[in-house]
Amino acid sequence: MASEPKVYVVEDDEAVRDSLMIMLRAADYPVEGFSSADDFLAQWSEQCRGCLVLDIRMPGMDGMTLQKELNHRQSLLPIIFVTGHGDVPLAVEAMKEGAVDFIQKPYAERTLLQKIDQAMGIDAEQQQVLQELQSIKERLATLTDREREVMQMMVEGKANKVIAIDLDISQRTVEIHRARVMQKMGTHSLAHLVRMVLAADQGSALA
Amino acid sequence: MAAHLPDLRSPDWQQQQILLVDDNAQNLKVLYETLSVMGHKLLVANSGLKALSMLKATSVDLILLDIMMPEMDGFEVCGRLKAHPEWKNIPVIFLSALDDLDAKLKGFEAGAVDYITKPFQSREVIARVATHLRLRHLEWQQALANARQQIEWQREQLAQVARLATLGEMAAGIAHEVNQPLTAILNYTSAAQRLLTKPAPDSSLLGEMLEKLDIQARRAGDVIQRVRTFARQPSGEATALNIADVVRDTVLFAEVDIRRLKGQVVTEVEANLPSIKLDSVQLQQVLLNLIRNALEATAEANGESPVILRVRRMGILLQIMVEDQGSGLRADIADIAEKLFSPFNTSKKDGMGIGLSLCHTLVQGQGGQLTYRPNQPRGCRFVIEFPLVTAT
Ligand SMILES: Nc1ncnc2c1ncn2[C@@H]1O[C@H](COP(=O)(O)OP(=O)(O)O)[C@@H](O)[C@H]1O
Ligand SMILES: [Mg+2]
Repeated sequence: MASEPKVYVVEDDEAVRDSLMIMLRAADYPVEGFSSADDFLAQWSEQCRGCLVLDIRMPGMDGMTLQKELNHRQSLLPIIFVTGHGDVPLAVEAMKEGAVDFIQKPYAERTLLQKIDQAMGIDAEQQQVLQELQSIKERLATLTDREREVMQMMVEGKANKVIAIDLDISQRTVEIHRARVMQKMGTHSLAHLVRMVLAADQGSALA
Repeated sequence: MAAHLPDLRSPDWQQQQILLVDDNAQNLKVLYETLSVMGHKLLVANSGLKALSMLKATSVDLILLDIMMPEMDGFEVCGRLKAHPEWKNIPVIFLSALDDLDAKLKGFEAGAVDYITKPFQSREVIARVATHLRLRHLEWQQALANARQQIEWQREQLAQVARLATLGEMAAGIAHEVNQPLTAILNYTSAAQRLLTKPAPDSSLLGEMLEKLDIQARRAGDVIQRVRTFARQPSGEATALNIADVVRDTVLFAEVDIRRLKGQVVTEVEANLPSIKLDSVQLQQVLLNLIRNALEATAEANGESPVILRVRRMGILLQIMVEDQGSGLRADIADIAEKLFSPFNTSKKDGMGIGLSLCHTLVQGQGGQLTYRPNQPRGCRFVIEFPLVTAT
Protein backbone atom coordinates (compact mmCIF):
# COMPACT_ATOMS: atom_id res chain seq x y z
CA MET A 1 0.00 0.00 0.00
CA ALA A 2 2.76 2.43 0.95
CA SER A 3 3.79 4.72 -1.91
CA GLU A 4 7.32 4.73 -3.29
CA PRO A 5 9.77 6.72 -1.12
CA LYS A 6 10.77 10.05 -2.64
CA VAL A 7 12.16 13.43 -1.81
CA TYR A 8 9.40 15.99 -1.43
CA VAL A 9 10.70 19.48 -2.09
CA VAL A 10 8.70 22.46 -0.79
CA GLU A 11 10.27 25.73 -1.89
CA ASP A 12 8.62 28.91 -3.09
CA ASP A 13 11.54 30.20 -5.12
CA GLU A 14 11.01 28.77 -8.56
CA ALA A 15 14.71 28.74 -9.51
CA VAL A 16 15.83 27.13 -6.27
CA ARG A 17 13.09 24.52 -6.54
CA ASP A 18 13.71 23.76 -10.21
CA SER A 19 17.48 23.49 -9.75
CA LEU A 20 17.17 21.33 -6.67
CA MET A 21 14.81 18.95 -8.41
CA ILE A 22 17.09 18.68 -11.44
CA MET A 23 20.02 18.05 -9.15
CA LEU A 24 18.23 15.33 -7.20
CA ARG A 25 17.00 13.67 -10.39
CA ALA A 26 20.54 13.73 -11.77
CA ALA A 27 21.57 11.91 -8.59
CA ASP A 28 18.78 9.38 -9.25
CA TYR A 29 16.39 10.34 -6.45
CA PRO A 30 12.67 10.24 -7.13
CA VAL A 31 11.47 13.82 -6.52
CA GLU A 32 8.28 15.75 -6.28
CA GLY A 33 8.21 19.52 -5.98
CA PHE A 34 5.71 21.97 -4.48
CA SER A 35 5.76 25.75 -4.59
CA SER A 36 3.86 26.23 -1.35
CA ALA A 37 3.13 24.53 1.95
CA ASP A 38 -0.57 24.51 1.07
CA ASP A 39 0.05 22.61 -2.16
CA PHE A 40 2.01 20.01 -0.28
CA LEU A 41 -0.57 19.64 2.48
CA ALA A 42 -3.30 19.23 -0.13
CA GLN A 43 -1.69 16.04 -1.43
CA TRP A 44 -0.12 14.77 1.80
CA SER A 45 -1.29 11.42 3.15
CA GLU A 46 -0.04 9.00 5.79
CA GLN A 47 1.27 6.98 2.88
CA CYS A 48 3.92 9.54 1.94
CA ARG A 49 7.36 7.94 2.23
CA GLY A 50 10.85 9.31 1.96
CA CYS A 51 11.64 12.74 3.31
CA LEU A 52 10.67 16.37 3.08
CA VAL A 53 13.14 19.11 2.10
CA LEU A 54 11.42 22.22 3.37
CA ASP A 55 12.25 25.90 2.96
CA ILE A 56 11.88 27.56 6.34
CA ARG A 57 10.90 30.99 4.96
CA MET A 58 8.04 31.20 2.50
CA PRO A 59 5.24 33.64 1.88
CA GLY A 60 1.87 32.33 3.01
CA MET A 61 2.33 29.30 5.26
CA ASP A 62 5.99 29.08 6.21
CA GLY A 63 8.03 25.96 6.82
CA MET A 64 7.68 26.00 10.60
CA THR A 65 3.91 26.23 10.36
CA LEU A 66 3.79 23.35 7.88
CA GLN A 67 5.90 21.28 10.30
CA LYS A 68 3.44 21.96 13.13
CA GLU A 69 0.51 21.02 10.91
CA LEU A 70 2.22 17.78 9.87
CA ASN A 71 3.01 16.98 13.52
CA HIS A 72 -0.63 17.62 14.30
CA ARG A 73 -1.57 15.12 11.60
CA GLN A 74 0.93 12.67 13.11
CA SER A 75 3.05 12.56 10.00
CA LEU A 76 6.27 10.60 10.43
CA LEU A 77 7.89 11.98 7.29
CA PRO A 78 11.39 13.17 8.31
CA ILE A 79 11.96 16.87 7.61
CA ILE A 80 15.18 18.58 6.54
CA PHE A 81 14.83 22.34 6.85
CA VAL A 82 16.55 24.57 4.34
CA THR A 83 17.45 27.84 5.99
CA GLY A 84 18.94 31.10 4.87
CA HIS A 85 21.59 33.21 6.41
CA GLY A 86 20.72 34.09 10.00
CA ASP A 87 17.91 31.58 10.39
CA VAL A 88 19.80 29.37 12.83
CA PRO A 89 17.58 30.22 15.83
CA LEU A 90 14.55 29.21 13.75
CA ALA A 91 16.28 26.01 12.73
CA VAL A 92 17.02 25.17 16.35
CA GLU A 93 13.36 25.60 17.17
CA ALA A 94 12.43 23.40 14.22
CA MET A 95 14.79 20.70 15.51
CA LYS A 96 13.05 20.86 18.90
CA GLU A 97 9.80 20.25 17.06
CA GLY A 98 11.29 17.07 15.65
CA ALA A 99 12.98 18.02 12.39
CA VAL A 100 15.79 15.55 11.65
CA ASP A 101 18.22 18.11 10.29
CA PHE A 102 18.72 21.48 8.68
CA ILE A 103 20.99 22.86 6.01
CA GLN A 104 21.97 26.42 5.16
CA LYS A 105 21.72 27.90 1.68
CA PRO A 106 23.83 27.78 -0.36
CA TYR A 107 24.82 24.18 0.37
CA ALA A 108 27.22 21.66 -1.11
CA GLU A 109 25.50 18.90 -3.05
CA ARG A 110 27.29 16.19 -1.08
CA THR A 111 26.16 17.58 2.28
CA LEU A 112 22.55 17.77 1.20
CA LEU A 113 22.58 14.28 -0.31
CA GLN A 114 24.07 12.85 2.90
CA LYS A 115 21.34 14.45 4.94
CA ILE A 116 18.70 13.18 2.52
CA ASP A 117 20.11 9.65 2.68
CA GLN A 118 20.09 9.78 6.43
CA ALA A 119 16.52 11.08 6.54
CA MET A 120 15.34 8.43 4.08
CA GLY A 121 17.12 5.83 6.24
CA ILE A 122 15.24 7.03 9.30
CA ASP A 123 11.98 6.85 7.38
CA ALA A 124 12.72 3.31 6.19
CA GLU A 125 13.54 2.20 9.74
CA GLN A 126 10.37 3.77 11.05
CA GLN A 127 8.42 1.99 8.34
CA GLN A 128 9.97 -1.32 9.28
CA VAL A 129 9.15 -0.82 12.93
CA LEU A 130 5.63 0.17 12.01
CA GLN A 131 5.22 -2.84 9.78
CA GLU A 132 6.48 -5.17 12.51
CA LEU A 133 4.14 -3.58 14.95
CA GLN A 134 1.34 -3.99 12.44
CA SER A 135 2.07 -7.67 11.97
CA ILE A 136 2.31 -8.22 15.74
CA LYS A 137 -1.07 -6.58 16.11
CA GLU A 138 -2.51 -8.67 13.35
CA ARG A 139 -1.21 -11.83 15.06
CA LEU A 140 -2.49 -10.75 18.45
CA ALA A 141 -5.91 -10.28 16.89
CA THR A 142 -6.02 -13.99 15.98
CA LEU A 143 -5.75 -15.09 19.64
CA THR A 144 -8.84 -16.28 21.53
CA ASP A 145 -9.67 -14.63 24.86
CA ARG A 146 -8.40 -17.59 26.80
CA GLU A 147 -5.17 -17.69 24.76
CA ARG A 148 -4.70 -13.98 25.45
CA GLU A 149 -5.15 -14.59 29.20
CA VAL A 150 -2.60 -17.38 29.14
CA MET A 151 -0.19 -15.24 27.11
CA GLN A 152 -0.46 -12.36 29.59
CA MET A 153 0.49 -14.72 32.44
CA MET A 154 3.32 -16.26 30.40
CA VAL A 155 4.70 -12.82 29.77
CA GLU A 156 4.49 -12.08 33.49
CA GLY A 157 6.76 -15.11 33.92
CA LYS A 158 4.27 -17.46 35.62
CA ALA A 159 4.89 -21.21 35.39
CA ASN A 160 2.27 -23.51 33.74
CA LYS A 161 1.38 -24.93 37.13
CA VAL A 162 0.60 -21.48 38.53
CA ILE A 163 -1.38 -20.49 35.45
CA ALA A 164 -3.42 -23.72 35.71
CA ILE A 165 -4.30 -22.97 39.33
CA ASP A 166 -5.08 -19.28 38.66
CA LEU A 167 -7.35 -20.07 35.72
CA ASP A 168 -8.70 -23.23 37.33
CA ILE A 169 -7.87 -25.42 34.34
CA SER A 170 -5.65 -28.44 33.89
CA GLN A 171 -1.95 -28.05 33.33
CA ARG A 172 -2.37 -30.01 30.09
CA THR A 173 -4.86 -27.46 28.80
CA VAL A 174 -2.43 -24.66 29.70
CA GLU A 175 0.25 -26.44 27.67
CA ILE A 176 -2.06 -26.63 24.66
CA HIS A 177 -2.93 -22.90 24.90
CA ARG A 178 0.71 -22.07 25.33
CA ALA A 179 1.70 -23.96 22.17
CA ARG A 180 -1.11 -22.24 20.21
CA VAL A 181 0.06 -18.81 21.40
CA MET A 182 3.61 -19.49 20.35
CA GLN A 183 2.48 -20.80 17.00
CA LYS A 184 0.06 -17.95 16.26
CA MET A 185 2.63 -15.34 17.30
CA GLY A 186 5.18 -17.05 15.07
CA THR A 187 7.94 -17.60 17.60
CA HIS A 188 9.67 -20.29 19.62
CA SER A 189 11.20 -18.05 22.22
CA LEU A 190 9.48 -16.66 25.29
CA ALA A 191 11.88 -13.70 25.28
CA HIS A 192 10.76 -12.80 21.75
CA LEU A 193 7.14 -13.03 22.75
CA VAL A 194 7.73 -10.70 25.69
CA ARG A 195 9.35 -8.18 23.37
CA MET A 196 6.47 -8.34 20.90
CA VAL A 197 3.86 -7.83 23.61
CA LEU A 198 5.76 -4.88 25.04
CA ALA A 199 6.16 -3.36 21.57
CA ALA A 200 2.47 -3.75 20.90
CA ASP A 201 1.60 -2.10 24.25
CA GLN A 202 3.94 0.79 23.57
CA GLY A 203 2.84 1.06 19.97
CA SER A 204 -0.78 1.33 20.96
CA ALA A 205 0.15 3.81 23.68
CA LEU A 206 1.78 5.93 20.94
CA ALA A 207 -1.19 5.76 18.61
CA MET B 1 30.09 78.11 12.11
CA ALA B 2 26.93 79.05 13.94
CA ALA B 3 28.64 82.04 15.61
CA HIS B 4 29.25 83.53 12.16
CA LEU B 5 25.66 83.25 11.10
CA PRO B 6 24.13 86.62 10.44
CA ASP B 7 21.20 87.85 12.38
CA LEU B 8 18.38 86.36 10.38
CA ARG B 9 16.04 89.13 11.44
CA SER B 10 17.52 91.68 9.05
CA PRO B 11 17.19 90.16 5.61
CA ASP B 12 15.93 93.28 3.88
CA TRP B 13 18.30 96.08 3.29
CA GLN B 14 15.67 98.76 3.68
CA GLN B 15 14.93 97.41 7.14
CA GLN B 16 18.44 97.80 8.42
CA GLN B 17 18.68 99.71 11.67
CA ILE B 18 21.24 102.38 12.50
CA LEU B 19 22.13 103.34 16.05
CA LEU B 20 23.31 106.91 16.65
CA VAL B 21 25.26 107.52 19.86
CA ASP B 22 26.17 111.03 21.03
CA ASP B 23 25.95 112.78 24.41
CA ASN B 24 25.04 116.04 22.71
CA ALA B 25 21.33 116.28 21.94
CA GLN B 26 21.87 118.87 19.24
CA ASN B 27 24.35 116.61 17.43
CA LEU B 28 21.93 113.72 17.66
CA LYS B 29 19.18 115.82 16.18
CA VAL B 30 21.30 116.91 13.20
CA LEU B 31 22.47 113.35 12.55
CA TYR B 32 18.95 112.05 12.82
CA GLU B 33 17.64 114.55 10.31
CA THR B 34 20.52 113.97 7.94
CA LEU B 35 20.08 110.19 7.88
CA SER B 36 16.32 110.03 7.97
CA VAL B 37 16.21 110.73 4.21
CA MET B 38 17.74 107.28 3.65
CA GLY B 39 14.63 105.54 4.90
CA HIS B 40 16.33 103.29 7.46
CA LYS B 41 15.12 102.88 10.94
CA LEU B 42 17.14 105.11 13.28
CA LEU B 43 17.74 104.53 16.97
CA VAL B 44 19.38 107.07 19.26
CA ALA B 45 21.27 106.85 22.54
CA ASN B 46 22.82 109.72 24.48
CA SER B 47 25.37 107.62 26.36
CA GLY B 48 27.54 104.57 25.84
CA LEU B 49 25.71 102.62 28.52
CA LYS B 50 22.33 103.35 26.96
CA ALA B 51 23.67 102.26 23.59
CA LEU B 52 24.82 98.95 25.03
CA SER B 53 21.53 98.29 26.75
CA MET B 54 19.64 99.04 23.52
CA LEU B 55 21.72 96.46 21.72
CA LYS B 56 20.48 93.86 24.12
CA ALA B 57 16.92 94.58 23.04
CA THR B 58 17.25 94.96 19.30
CA SER B 59 19.52 94.14 16.43
CA VAL B 60 21.50 96.89 14.79
CA ASP B 61 23.32 96.95 11.47
CA LEU B 62 25.49 100.02 11.88
CA ILE B 63 26.56 102.25 14.78
CA LEU B 64 27.60 105.88 14.54
CA LEU B 65 29.56 106.48 17.69
CA ASP B 66 30.76 109.75 19.19
CA ILE B 67 34.19 109.49 20.81
CA MET B 68 34.07 112.20 23.42
CA MET B 69 31.39 111.26 25.92
CA PRO B 70 31.31 111.48 29.73
CA GLU B 71 31.49 108.28 31.81
CA MET B 72 32.10 105.84 28.93
CA ASP B 73 33.83 107.21 25.87
CA GLY B 74 33.45 105.91 22.33
CA PHE B 75 36.67 103.84 22.42
CA GLU B 76 35.45 101.96 25.45
CA VAL B 77 31.99 101.39 23.98
CA CYS B 78 33.65 100.07 20.84
CA GLY B 79 35.97 97.85 22.89
CA ARG B 80 32.99 96.31 24.64
CA LEU B 81 31.18 95.76 21.36
CA LYS B 82 34.16 93.97 19.87
CA ALA B 83 34.42 91.77 22.95
CA HIS B 84 30.82 90.65 22.65
CA PRO B 85 30.17 87.56 20.50
CA GLU B 86 26.90 88.82 19.02
CA TRP B 87 27.89 92.45 18.57
CA LYS B 88 31.46 92.17 17.42
CA ASN B 89 30.51 92.16 13.73
CA ILE B 90 28.39 95.28 13.84
CA PRO B 91 30.27 97.95 11.90
CA VAL B 92 31.10 101.07 13.91
CA ILE B 93 31.77 104.53 12.44
CA PHE B 94 33.41 107.01 14.83
CA LEU B 95 32.28 110.61 14.93
CA SER B 96 34.57 113.18 16.40
CA ALA B 97 35.68 116.75 16.28
CA LEU B 98 39.19 115.47 16.94
CA ASP B 99 40.71 115.66 13.55
CA ASP B 100 44.07 114.27 14.50
CA LEU B 101 45.68 111.19 13.07
CA ASP B 102 46.28 109.54 16.46
CA ALA B 103 42.61 109.61 17.36
CA LYS B 104 41.66 108.16 13.97
CA LEU B 105 44.23 105.41 14.28
CA LYS B 106 43.09 104.62 17.79
CA GLY B 107 39.54 104.37 16.43
CA PHE B 108 40.54 101.92 13.72
CA GLU B 109 42.56 99.93 16.25
CA ALA B 110 39.47 99.69 18.43
CA GLY B 111 37.76 98.02 15.46
CA ALA B 112 35.93 100.85 13.72
CA VAL B 113 35.30 100.59 9.99
CA ASP B 114 35.32 104.33 9.33
CA TYR B 115 35.76 107.77 10.82
CA ILE B 116 33.79 110.95 10.23
CA THR B 117 35.03 114.34 11.36
CA LYS B 118 32.67 116.86 12.84
CA PRO B 119 31.31 119.16 11.65
CA PHE B 120 30.30 116.85 8.84
CA GLN B 121 28.93 117.28 5.35
CA SER B 122 25.51 115.61 5.05
CA ARG B 123 26.34 114.07 1.68
CA GLU B 124 29.52 112.59 3.06
CA VAL B 125 27.75 111.05 6.06
CA ILE B 126 25.03 109.62 3.84
CA ALA B 127 27.56 108.25 1.36
CA ARG B 128 29.65 106.57 4.06
CA VAL B 129 26.67 105.15 5.88
CA ALA B 130 25.22 103.83 2.61
CA THR B 131 28.51 102.17 1.73
CA HIS B 132 28.83 100.41 5.04
CA LEU B 133 25.24 99.30 5.07
CA ARG B 134 25.66 97.88 1.59
CA LEU B 135 28.80 96.06 2.68
CA ARG B 136 27.01 94.75 5.70
CA HIS B 137 24.18 93.58 3.52
CA LEU B 138 26.53 91.82 1.10
CA GLU B 139 28.31 90.15 3.99
CA TRP B 140 25.00 89.06 5.31
CA GLN B 141 23.95 87.62 1.96
CA GLN B 142 27.24 85.82 1.64
CA ALA B 143 26.90 84.35 5.12
CA LEU B 144 23.36 83.31 4.34
CA ALA B 145 24.47 81.58 1.16
CA ASN B 146 27.20 79.80 3.11
CA ALA B 147 24.74 78.76 5.76
CA ARG B 148 22.38 77.45 3.11
CA GLN B 149 25.17 75.47 1.56
CA GLN B 150 26.11 74.16 4.95
CA ILE B 151 22.56 73.07 5.65
CA GLU B 152 22.32 71.46 2.23
CA TRP B 153 25.55 69.60 2.87
CA GLN B 154 24.43 68.46 6.30
CA ARG B 155 21.12 67.30 4.89
CA GLU B 156 22.92 65.27 2.26
CA GLN B 157 25.22 63.76 4.89
CA LEU B 158 22.25 62.84 7.02
CA ALA B 159 20.50 61.33 4.03
CA GLN B 160 23.60 59.31 3.21
CA VAL B 161 23.92 58.05 6.79
CA ALA B 162 20.24 57.12 6.75
CA ARG B 163 20.66 55.25 3.45
CA LEU B 164 23.50 53.24 4.91
CA ALA B 165 21.46 52.58 8.05
CA THR B 166 18.58 51.37 5.88
CA LEU B 167 20.96 49.07 4.05
CA GLY B 168 22.16 47.79 7.41
CA GLU B 169 18.60 47.00 8.45
CA MET B 170 18.02 45.29 5.13
CA ALA B 171 21.33 43.41 5.09
CA ALA B 172 19.93 40.03 6.09
CA GLY B 173 17.22 40.34 3.47
CA ILE B 174 19.68 41.39 0.80
CA ALA B 175 21.90 38.44 1.69
CA HIS B 176 18.85 36.24 1.20
CA GLU B 177 18.14 37.82 -2.19
CA VAL B 178 21.66 36.96 -3.34
CA ASN B 179 21.63 33.58 -1.65
CA GLN B 180 18.65 32.33 -3.65
CA PRO B 181 20.24 32.62 -7.10
CA LEU B 182 23.56 31.37 -5.71
CA THR B 183 21.87 28.28 -4.36
CA ALA B 184 20.19 27.68 -7.70
CA ILE B 185 23.50 28.17 -9.53
CA LEU B 186 25.25 25.62 -7.31
CA ASN B 187 22.41 23.15 -7.77
CA TYR B 188 22.48 23.50 -11.55
CA THR B 189 26.26 23.08 -11.72
CA SER B 190 26.22 20.00 -9.46
CA ALA B 191 23.50 18.51 -11.62
CA ALA B 192 25.38 19.33 -14.82
CA GLN B 193 28.55 17.70 -13.51
CA ARG B 194 26.62 14.56 -12.67
CA LEU B 195 24.86 14.52 -16.03
CA LEU B 196 28.20 14.76 -17.80
CA THR B 197 29.43 11.57 -16.12
CA LYS B 198 26.52 9.64 -17.62
CA PRO B 199 27.14 7.55 -20.74
CA ALA B 200 25.00 9.69 -23.05
CA PRO B 201 24.56 13.15 -21.49
CA ASP B 202 21.35 14.87 -22.52
CA SER B 203 22.80 17.85 -24.33
CA SER B 204 19.50 19.65 -24.73
CA LEU B 205 18.91 19.46 -20.97
CA LEU B 206 22.46 20.71 -20.41
CA GLY B 207 21.85 23.60 -22.80
CA GLU B 208 18.67 24.48 -20.98
CA MET B 209 20.55 24.46 -17.68
CA LEU B 210 23.21 26.79 -19.05
CA GLU B 211 20.49 29.25 -19.92
CA LYS B 212 19.02 28.97 -16.45
CA LEU B 213 22.48 29.47 -14.94
CA ASP B 214 22.83 32.64 -16.93
CA ILE B 215 19.49 33.95 -15.69
CA GLN B 216 20.38 33.21 -12.06
CA ALA B 217 23.80 34.82 -12.30
CA ARG B 218 22.15 37.95 -13.67
CA ARG B 219 19.57 37.84 -10.94
CA ALA B 220 22.31 37.94 -8.30
CA GLY B 221 24.05 40.70 -10.20
CA ASP B 222 20.87 42.76 -10.31
CA VAL B 223 20.52 42.64 -6.54
CA ILE B 224 24.08 43.90 -6.13
CA GLN B 225 23.41 46.60 -8.70
CA ARG B 226 20.33 47.78 -6.83
CA VAL B 227 22.29 47.99 -3.59
CA ARG B 228 24.98 50.02 -5.36
CA THR B 229 22.48 52.38 -6.89
CA PHE B 230 20.79 52.90 -3.57
CA ALA B 231 23.97 53.43 -1.60
CA ARG B 232 25.69 55.76 -4.00
CA GLN B 233 26.24 59.37 -3.08
CA PRO B 234 23.74 61.35 -5.14
CA SER B 235 25.17 63.77 -7.64
CA GLY B 236 23.06 66.49 -6.04
CA GLU B 237 21.89 67.20 -9.55
CA ALA B 238 18.35 66.76 -10.61
CA THR B 239 18.03 64.89 -13.88
CA ALA B 240 14.96 64.26 -15.97
CA LEU B 241 13.49 61.09 -14.49
CA ASN B 242 11.05 58.55 -15.71
CA ILE B 243 9.00 58.10 -12.55
CA ALA B 244 7.76 54.67 -13.61
CA ASP B 245 11.38 53.41 -13.67
CA VAL B 246 12.16 54.80 -10.23
CA VAL B 247 8.99 53.24 -8.83
CA ARG B 248 9.79 49.86 -10.38
CA ASP B 249 13.37 49.86 -9.06
CA THR B 250 12.25 50.89 -5.59
CA VAL B 251 9.64 48.16 -5.36
CA LEU B 252 12.22 45.58 -6.51
CA PHE B 253 14.51 46.82 -3.78
CA ALA B 254 11.69 46.67 -1.23
CA GLU B 255 11.30 42.98 -2.12
CA VAL B 256 13.55 42.27 0.86
CA ASP B 257 11.04 43.76 3.28
CA ILE B 258 8.08 42.43 1.36
CA ARG B 259 9.43 38.95 2.06
CA ARG B 260 10.41 39.67 5.64
CA LEU B 261 7.03 41.13 6.51
CA LYS B 262 5.09 38.87 4.18
CA GLY B 263 3.49 41.87 2.60
CA GLN B 264 2.61 42.99 -0.86
CA VAL B 265 3.11 46.16 -2.86
CA VAL B 266 0.86 47.05 -5.76
CA THR B 267 1.82 49.90 -8.08
CA GLU B 268 -0.58 51.96 -10.14
CA VAL B 269 1.40 54.29 -12.33
CA GLU B 270 -0.51 56.42 -14.81
CA ALA B 271 0.66 55.96 -18.39
CA ASN B 272 2.49 58.70 -20.30
CA LEU B 273 3.61 60.70 -17.29
CA PRO B 274 5.94 63.52 -18.25
CA SER B 275 9.50 63.17 -17.01
CA ILE B 276 10.41 65.33 -14.05
CA LYS B 277 13.70 66.76 -12.86
CA LEU B 278 14.57 65.24 -9.51
CA ASP B 279 17.44 63.52 -7.77
CA SER B 280 16.72 59.84 -8.32
CA VAL B 281 18.67 58.53 -5.31
CA GLN B 282 16.81 60.82 -2.94
CA LEU B 283 13.45 60.03 -4.47
CA GLN B 284 14.15 56.32 -4.17
CA GLN B 285 15.13 56.78 -0.55
CA VAL B 286 11.90 58.63 0.22
CA LEU B 287 9.72 56.04 -1.52
CA LEU B 288 11.54 53.13 0.13
CA ASN B 289 11.07 54.71 3.56
CA LEU B 290 7.37 55.22 3.03
CA ILE B 291 6.90 51.72 1.61
CA ARG B 292 8.78 50.14 4.50
CA ASN B 293 6.74 52.06 7.06
CA ALA B 294 3.56 51.01 5.29
CA LEU B 295 4.62 47.35 5.18
CA GLU B 296 5.55 47.45 8.85
CA ALA B 297 2.24 49.04 9.83
CA THR B 298 0.34 46.44 7.77
CA ALA B 299 2.24 43.58 9.36
CA GLU B 300 1.68 45.04 12.81
CA ALA B 301 -2.07 45.05 12.21
CA ASN B 302 -1.86 41.53 10.73
CA GLY B 303 -3.37 43.12 7.65
CA GLU B 304 -3.80 41.35 4.35
CA SER B 305 -4.30 44.35 2.10
CA PRO B 306 -1.38 45.32 -0.09
CA VAL B 307 0.46 48.60 0.16
CA ILE B 308 -0.57 50.71 -2.82
CA LEU B 309 1.80 53.05 -4.59
CA ARG B 310 -0.07 55.36 -6.91
CA VAL B 311 1.49 57.87 -9.27
CA ARG B 312 -0.60 60.30 -11.27
CA ARG B 313 -0.70 63.72 -12.76
CA MET B 314 -2.96 66.31 -11.13
CA GLY B 315 -2.85 69.40 -13.30
CA ILE B 316 0.56 70.94 -12.80
CA LEU B 317 1.44 68.52 -9.99
CA LEU B 318 2.94 65.07 -10.02
CA GLN B 319 1.37 63.13 -7.18
CA ILE B 320 2.89 60.05 -5.59
CA MET B 321 0.83 58.32 -2.91
CA VAL B 322 1.77 55.51 -0.57
CA GLU B 323 -1.30 54.00 1.06
CA ASP B 324 -1.74 51.18 3.50
CA GLN B 325 -4.51 49.56 5.49
CA GLY B 326 -2.27 49.02 8.48
CA SER B 327 -2.34 49.99 12.12
CA GLY B 328 -2.65 53.73 11.42
CA LEU B 329 -0.74 56.39 13.29
CA ARG B 330 -0.45 55.87 17.00
CA ALA B 331 -2.44 58.55 18.80
CA ASP B 332 0.55 60.25 20.43
CA ILE B 333 2.26 60.65 17.07
CA ALA B 334 -0.87 61.60 15.14
CA ASP B 335 -2.00 64.48 17.34
CA ILE B 336 0.22 67.14 15.80
CA ALA B 337 1.32 67.14 12.19
CA GLU B 338 4.70 68.74 12.99
CA LYS B 339 5.47 65.94 15.38
CA LEU B 340 4.98 63.32 12.71
CA PHE B 341 7.68 64.87 10.55
CA SER B 342 10.07 65.78 13.32
CA PRO B 343 12.84 63.32 14.10
CA PHE B 344 13.05 60.67 16.82
CA ASN B 345 9.36 59.92 17.08
CA THR B 346 9.05 56.21 16.82
CA SER B 347 6.59 53.59 17.99
CA LYS B 348 8.90 50.74 17.01
CA LYS B 349 11.18 48.75 19.26
CA ASP B 350 14.13 49.05 16.88
CA GLY B 351 12.94 52.21 15.17
CA MET B 352 15.13 55.27 14.86
CA GLY B 353 12.32 57.62 13.97
CA ILE B 354 14.29 59.55 11.40
CA GLY B 355 12.62 58.13 8.29
CA LEU B 356 9.68 60.49 7.99
CA SER B 357 11.55 63.62 9.03
CA LEU B 358 14.18 62.84 6.43
CA CYS B 359 11.53 62.18 3.77
CA HIS B 360 9.98 65.53 4.60
CA THR B 361 13.28 67.39 4.27
CA LEU B 362 14.34 65.57 1.13
CA VAL B 363 11.03 66.22 -0.61
CA GLN B 364 11.09 69.88 0.40
CA GLY B 365 14.69 70.19 -0.66
CA GLN B 366 13.57 69.19 -4.14
CA GLY B 367 10.75 71.70 -4.26
CA GLY B 368 8.00 69.28 -3.30
CA GLN B 369 5.70 68.66 -0.41
CA LEU B 370 5.00 65.62 1.75
CA THR B 371 1.71 65.41 3.59
CA TYR B 372 -0.15 62.85 5.64
CA ARG B 373 -3.82 61.89 5.63
CA PRO B 374 -5.62 59.00 7.27
CA ASN B 375 -6.53 56.34 4.74
CA GLN B 376 -10.03 54.86 4.38
CA PRO B 377 -11.21 52.71 6.06
CA ARG B 378 -7.97 52.45 8.07
CA GLY B 379 -4.27 52.98 7.81
CA CYS B 380 -2.19 55.83 6.46
CA ARG B 381 -1.76 57.70 3.25
CA PHE B 382 1.34 59.74 2.54
CA VAL B 383 1.18 62.08 -0.43
CA ILE B 384 4.16 63.58 -2.21
CA GLU B 385 3.59 66.39 -4.68
CA PHE B 386 6.11 67.90 -7.05
CA PRO B 387 5.36 70.75 -9.44
CA LEU B 388 5.74 69.62 -13.05
CA VAL B 389 7.09 72.97 -14.22
CA THR B 390 10.40 71.87 -15.66
CA ALA B 391 9.07 68.89 -17.57
CA THR B 392 11.17 68.30 -20.66
N1 LIG C 1 2.37 53.94 7.35
C1 LIG C 1 2.36 54.12 8.69
N2 LIG C 1 1.40 53.58 9.46
C2 LIG C 1 1.40 53.76 10.82
N3 LIG C 1 2.33 54.45 11.49
C3 LIG C 1 3.32 55.02 10.77
C4 LIG C 1 3.40 54.89 9.35
N4 LIG C 1 4.50 55.57 8.91
C5 LIG C 1 5.07 56.09 10.03
N5 LIG C 1 4.37 55.76 11.14
C6 LIG C 1 4.65 56.16 12.52
O1 LIG C 1 5.62 57.19 12.51
C7 LIG C 1 6.76 56.82 13.26
C8 LIG C 1 8.00 57.42 12.65
O2 LIG C 1 8.31 56.82 11.40
P1 LIG C 1 9.78 56.93 10.85
O3 LIG C 1 10.20 58.34 10.92
O4 LIG C 1 9.85 56.26 9.51
O5 LIG C 1 10.65 56.14 11.92
P2 LIG C 1 10.68 54.57 12.32
O6 LIG C 1 10.09 53.83 11.15
O7 LIG C 1 12.13 54.29 12.51
O8 LIG C 1 9.89 54.46 13.58
C9 LIG C 1 6.75 55.31 13.27
O9 LIG C 1 7.40 54.76 14.37
C10 LIG C 1 5.26 55.01 13.29
O10 LIG C 1 4.77 55.10 14.61
MG1 LIG D 1 10.56 54.08 9.05
